[in-house]
Amino acid sequence: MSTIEIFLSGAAILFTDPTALMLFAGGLVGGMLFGSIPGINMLTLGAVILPFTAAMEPTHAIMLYAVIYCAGVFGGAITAILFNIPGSPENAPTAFDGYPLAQSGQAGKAVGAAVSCSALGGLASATLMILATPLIAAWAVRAFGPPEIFALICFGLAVSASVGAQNLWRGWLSVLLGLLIATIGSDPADGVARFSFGTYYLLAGIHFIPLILGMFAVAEVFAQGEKLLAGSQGRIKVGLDFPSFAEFWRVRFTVLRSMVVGFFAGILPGIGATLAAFLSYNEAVRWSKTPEKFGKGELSGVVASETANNAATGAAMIPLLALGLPGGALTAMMIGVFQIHGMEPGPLVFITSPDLVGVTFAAMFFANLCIFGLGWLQTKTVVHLLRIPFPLLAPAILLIATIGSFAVRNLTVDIWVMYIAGIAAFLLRRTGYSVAGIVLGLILGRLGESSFTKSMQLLDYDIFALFTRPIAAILLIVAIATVGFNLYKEVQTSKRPLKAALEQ
Amino acid sequence: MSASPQAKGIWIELVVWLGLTLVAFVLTFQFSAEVGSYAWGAASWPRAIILMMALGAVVQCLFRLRQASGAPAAAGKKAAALPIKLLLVFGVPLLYVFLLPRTGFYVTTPFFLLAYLMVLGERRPKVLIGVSLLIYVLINLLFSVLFFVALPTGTWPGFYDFSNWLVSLLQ
Repeated sequence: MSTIEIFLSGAAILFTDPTALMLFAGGLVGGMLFGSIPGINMLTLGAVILPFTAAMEPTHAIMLYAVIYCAGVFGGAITAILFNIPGSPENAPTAFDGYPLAQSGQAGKAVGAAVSCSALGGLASATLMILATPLIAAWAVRAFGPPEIFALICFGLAVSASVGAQNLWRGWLSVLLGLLIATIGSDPADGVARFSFGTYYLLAGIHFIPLILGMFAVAEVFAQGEKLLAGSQGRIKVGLDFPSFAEFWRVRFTVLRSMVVGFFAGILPGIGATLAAFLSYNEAVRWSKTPEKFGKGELSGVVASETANNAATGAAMIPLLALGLPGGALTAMMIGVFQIHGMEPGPLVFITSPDLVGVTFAAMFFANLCIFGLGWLQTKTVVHLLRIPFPLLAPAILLIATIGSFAVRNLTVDIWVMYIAGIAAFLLRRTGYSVAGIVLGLILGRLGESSFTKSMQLLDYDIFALFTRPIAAILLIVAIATVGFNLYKEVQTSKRPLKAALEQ
Repeated sequence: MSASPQAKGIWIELVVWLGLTLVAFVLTFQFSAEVGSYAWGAASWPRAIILMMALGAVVQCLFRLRQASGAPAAAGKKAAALPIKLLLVFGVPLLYVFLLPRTGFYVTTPFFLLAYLMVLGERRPKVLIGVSLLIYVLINLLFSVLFFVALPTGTWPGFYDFSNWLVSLLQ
């Protein structure tokens, strides 16, 4: 049976089985809800329902997780855009431009773009998953080893300095600060404690969720609070306009590029939707004719992030179903579901359980279609929350962020980390440093170091051997060229005021 | 001849960055011993980052000094002084976090909500009480009743018992 036939039979089962339909709807709403609440993300939902899947049919259980995955990745975009609170780490780059857009009265446009692009990215990814699961999985897992992943991270980092900072140097210092924070904890090779000051808490590193909540939500409350006290805080105009066709047409290449980036990032084990969103955002900046607009309310930023993170969902299912390799935390839970039912994911699943594969394919495809409908409804309703005056909204934002950071590990120290990060981000923003750069460095740094360590062990500590691998070489050369070009541009820009002064 | 405020700011920024990198570099000696499986050791990656940070800070300083000396003297954008009220914007949440593990979420939160609304300029008693109550009830319904999130119940005598009684009532 071809994968298309498997998909069609899966769709037939999904729409004729009331239990499957009920679980589909529950997963969709639950995923969106959990995805939008920081700290209580889709992983919490996945973990909570894991024991109950034993009572379900394996087809239902895997389908439920697939729907939660699609809906959960999208859910956090709404809070990221409206309140600068990314519901999940994969929505953090959405806030870089989504929130400034909302602040400038274009919340409807930002949410509309997020909804449409999440659905588009997810649909494209699901379609590719249906068409080419066994083929792509085998290639990607063989072709991308640690050197290629390290090169991919360098490729992503090369452009991150130009996001949101006052100048290139501040951008680089922001990214480097993020990379340095990422080294706190245990080293990836031997688990040696670094910058842990002898505390047990820091051995596991600083958790990402309290940091992003602090840097985005808390810092924003402080910044708005300062404006309010200074009397310079104007009322936000609430725009409900959906992006026009012309606006979508303008970002068509960003959508296509983000689909590709998201898809390939999703396939690679350990990369997943979060890195897909960051890498895609960086690519949008790299290819833009106006990169300076990113971080200040550029629609392409929202489009890039949301297309890619949803494009990664279908892709992440490919190595899981075809090779039995989980790409991230939620797909790892799916392995648990398989094991609870005495099954092993891998190539044999296509032969032994075609119904399971078919229903999963169909559920992911239709979940992304539903995101479009439900998301459109959200655009017209949830955006009105912005009409609430800021002084009344601020304590609620702080409270949700506080609970969100506490709920991750039930540690009060995570709340301290969040507020300290908030104060630091508030001060860094005032001095022209980029919070987006710090977060990019932080998220790419951990995987970057781990893949570099493995690469060096693999290549006998010869750093130049990275250039002997074609994919890694291409990515590194483009990264070096990007850094060189940005430096040249910065030097030229810095000469201008000097020249103008001398001419006067 | 005294340095201009702009140049002074640039030097201060350099000192902050170099100070940070120096402290971080010194700390790397705590884990610089050779380890089993990785020949370059656990300190090599952080040290490379620290070196790049120091270099970046110096280059930034030089560039900005060059720009400052070439550009006509700016009208001296006065650094906004931090008013005491702004310190409360930071301070009230920090006090809340300090009290949270001691007096518990359920007791401390209503006071935090009231205090923060007041810090942000709200003075109408009905709005203060109404909004605090609404947020408190909604947050409790969502996190304690719907999601069963175990929030801090406090360690100080009395607060712990009261919080647990409230949680059992809610759930």
